[in-house]
Amino acid sequence: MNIVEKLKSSLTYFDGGFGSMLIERGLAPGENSTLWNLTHPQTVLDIHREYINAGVDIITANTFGANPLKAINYAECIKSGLDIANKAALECSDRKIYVALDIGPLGRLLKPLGDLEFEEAVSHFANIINAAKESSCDFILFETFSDSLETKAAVIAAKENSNLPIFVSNSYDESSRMLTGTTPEAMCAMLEGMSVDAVGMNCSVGPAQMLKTAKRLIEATSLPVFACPNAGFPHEEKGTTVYDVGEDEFSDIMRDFVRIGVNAVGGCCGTTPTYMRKVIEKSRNILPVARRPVSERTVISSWANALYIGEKPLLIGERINPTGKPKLKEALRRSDFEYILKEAIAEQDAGAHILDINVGLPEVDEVSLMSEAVTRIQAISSLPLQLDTVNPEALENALRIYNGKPLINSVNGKDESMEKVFPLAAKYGGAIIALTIDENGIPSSARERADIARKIIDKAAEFNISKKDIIVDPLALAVSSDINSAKITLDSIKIIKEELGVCVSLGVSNISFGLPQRDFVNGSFFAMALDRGLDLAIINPLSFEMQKVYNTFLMLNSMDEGCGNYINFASNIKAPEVATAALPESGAMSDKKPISLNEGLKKYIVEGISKAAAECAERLMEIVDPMEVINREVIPALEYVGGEFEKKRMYLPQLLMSADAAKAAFEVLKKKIPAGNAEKGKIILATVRGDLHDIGKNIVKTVLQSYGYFVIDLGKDVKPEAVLEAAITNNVNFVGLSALMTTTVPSMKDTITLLKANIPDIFTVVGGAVVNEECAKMVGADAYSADAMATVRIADKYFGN
Amino acid sequence: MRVIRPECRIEPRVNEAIRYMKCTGFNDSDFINKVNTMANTLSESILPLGCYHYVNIAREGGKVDIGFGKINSRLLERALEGCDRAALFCATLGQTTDRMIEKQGNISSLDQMICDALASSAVEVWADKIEERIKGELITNPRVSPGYGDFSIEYQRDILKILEAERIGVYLLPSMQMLPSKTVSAIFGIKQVQ
Repeated sequence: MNIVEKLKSSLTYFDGGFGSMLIERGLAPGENSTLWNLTHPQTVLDIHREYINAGVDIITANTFGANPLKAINYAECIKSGLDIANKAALECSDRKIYVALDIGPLGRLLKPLGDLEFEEAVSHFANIINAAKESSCDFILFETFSDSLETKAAVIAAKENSNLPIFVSNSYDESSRMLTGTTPEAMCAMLEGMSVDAVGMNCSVGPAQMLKTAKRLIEATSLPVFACPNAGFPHEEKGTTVYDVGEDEFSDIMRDFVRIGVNAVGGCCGTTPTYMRKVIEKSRNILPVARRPVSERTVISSWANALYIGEKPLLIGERINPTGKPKLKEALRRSDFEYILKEAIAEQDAGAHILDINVGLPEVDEVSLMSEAVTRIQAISSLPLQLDTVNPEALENALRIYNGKPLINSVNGKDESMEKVFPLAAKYGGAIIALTIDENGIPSSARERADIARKIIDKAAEFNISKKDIIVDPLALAVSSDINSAKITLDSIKIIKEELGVCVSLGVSNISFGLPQRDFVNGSFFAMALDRGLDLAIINPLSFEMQKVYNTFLMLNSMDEGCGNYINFASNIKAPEVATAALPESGAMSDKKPISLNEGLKKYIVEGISKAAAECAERLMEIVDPMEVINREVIPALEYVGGEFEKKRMYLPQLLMSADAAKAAFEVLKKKIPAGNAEKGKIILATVRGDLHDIGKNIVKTVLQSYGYFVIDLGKDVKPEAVLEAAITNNVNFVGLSALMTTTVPSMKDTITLLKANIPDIFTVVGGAVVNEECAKMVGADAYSADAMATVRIADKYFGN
Repeated sequence: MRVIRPECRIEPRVNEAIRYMKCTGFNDSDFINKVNTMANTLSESILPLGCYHYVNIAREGGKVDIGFGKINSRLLERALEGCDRAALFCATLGQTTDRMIEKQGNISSLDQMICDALASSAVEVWADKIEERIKGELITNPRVSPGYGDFSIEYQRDILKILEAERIGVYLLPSMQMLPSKTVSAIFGIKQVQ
């Protein structure tokens, strides 16, 4: 019987804490316990024996800290750790003892919040798993993982390098969240999507606190669940660490885990063989609890939360998709993530539940752009994403690094499509949008569309993808080219839901293509589709019309208890919007306020009122040449503010507010100026390698942009080679570098040296908390800048402005 | 190592954040409102965690040793003067705060600057609270952190290792910057209780 069958067939016991047993025997604080496999093999063997004698079924090899980042000789430690555990296991003659390859976190934080590349993490885990092949084990146990992205990297490495069962154990605090803020439901969504063999939790809290988390895991997954709490919380008594939950209390509470259906129990820090002996004594005779089958709910997740689909209709924001959006196209061509992230924030604030991410343009590298967009958006948003691409390589890369279980947009009824998408979904997890189109095109009847949906569901099953992970999109086609198209789509929703029992999604706004006042049509169609049972709507969440339909529908369909949601929505609408709602210029919700030209653009910029500045620029542009507006209004206003700041008569926030207002005006004016003409020069900015603080650099960027410079922001922790590459590709000779710590100043020097060696006429300016005139000279920079305004002055001088 | 969690919400000190931004005296009401609103949003998003550990102090030739060899630092010697034990601790606002600061950067650099300054003040508030809780009734010296004066920042590595700070999600970059970015580590001497 393998370990998974064992878990499913009878209550199974893990061993207890290993580290605390070693500490008792002299392991020093901060010392890597895995080295004891080489230095104290007998001690390690004895601890395993004690646990086996206590009655456990599973022993975890002493390999927790054996990773390339923590021990150079990790491979040796893993082999000896497993050899010792196997020896102990084989000595036991009355039952099978299972040996776990115990793998802990790497000890470094992954990007985007840390500095470790995702694929680097995958390869470290792969090395660990491959090192274990020098010995043997029954399964892989990832333990004490507190970061969902690192967990994903580990599971990918295990799936790619081994056929062993995979158990994943995360650490949750008293509020049932991981250090990254991830909930048990979100972890289950991701891990079940990746088809691991068992999920569990260990460490961080005692049994009483962990029980709550265990209940939530049981509710959220159909996989076997295991639990290994600490012996409560540690405190110091006479120089030794003592845990506050004793063996009796611990073993009492562990019975409750068994009673709710947990398949395997054990212990973590502070639990000894005596603890496990008592746990086994007290729980052995509890009748096994049949786990209630988890309802076939469709679920996706982000790094923070799980999102269940099919309970209440949800909105997918469609704005990050270049089709018909020239500004986004331009942003994608320039890899301008500022624009993309602003859209993401706007959609989230407008109430989107999921964000669609489509960065496909013929002239961009979609593979790398898609991954970067996913990483950057996940850094700032906790919403789940819909990965929208027809490029299988872009999809696979994005699926790897996506932190959670995403929506995949899309598969269709063509064999070619299904054979490309399903293996990826099966490996990385994901719910898939299935379009009812196949080799013969889009059928013109609801019945035939449902047939394609059925075919897709059947094919998915061959890849072990369950029906709950297929969301059918019966396709809305322009009603202007076929007057029956809306009706067919609406009928399809009903049939597909009733006959196939799957969730349904729709790109709503296609329906109005080619018609005037598209939002009128979209709104009505949306309401009709919701009434037929639409679960997911891909819409513009900033559209007032769509929000109006959505919020009223929820209320009228008994999904808004006490009408609270509707009242909140309705009472936040500003008066002019209610008045003009019948005849909007566009669907967008904007709070336009009347402006008078007498107030002047100059004044708005000086006072830092962005909206008014943009609107004023718009009006001015109709009567005056935009270049003249820049020269007569924008520049003098900025000069005034900049001067006042330099004379310390204005504060930095004022400078930044003015800069934002000037930027807003520039954006408007640029539309009427031939591309590039309004830009005073191109500048690269980067925070150097090893440095993750970029607040100062961002301030410099804002002010430079307001002065009309085109800034290529390479972000933080930027390698010298990356700066050089960007300078060459974009033909830029002016580079600004920042560093916060004395320890990263050498990176500044490396970058400048590399730049100067390859681009003789490069000009470099440096700044940052620890940088001064002297330091600038030392690193070989051409100029030192004390603040944002000083950088503008240096740039103006360099570019002759 | 013991993990420590706040007993109440950690609120940033607005005036201190304004001082960090060099804006003391800038009494623009829009600005002050913006800072106050951000302070609220921030304190809702932070997930503070801390850990601490006691060490014995050994002395040799005037140099102190707190478990990882002799340390060359007058600042530390003075901080541990008259003490035979010390407490090491680490306070962090967690990853969600870094996400929040990152997000503000996409709204505007002003919002980001304000959020960053407030978070810096909040982690000091949290560090103060941890210090207070560890101290209890003990008589202690003021705390010091690596990276100040002649107490080399390189000691950050040893301190975080002893604290097993990874367990509360604190990591160290090769540049000795701690992640999450709003994290403080410190040591204070404990005088023999009478």
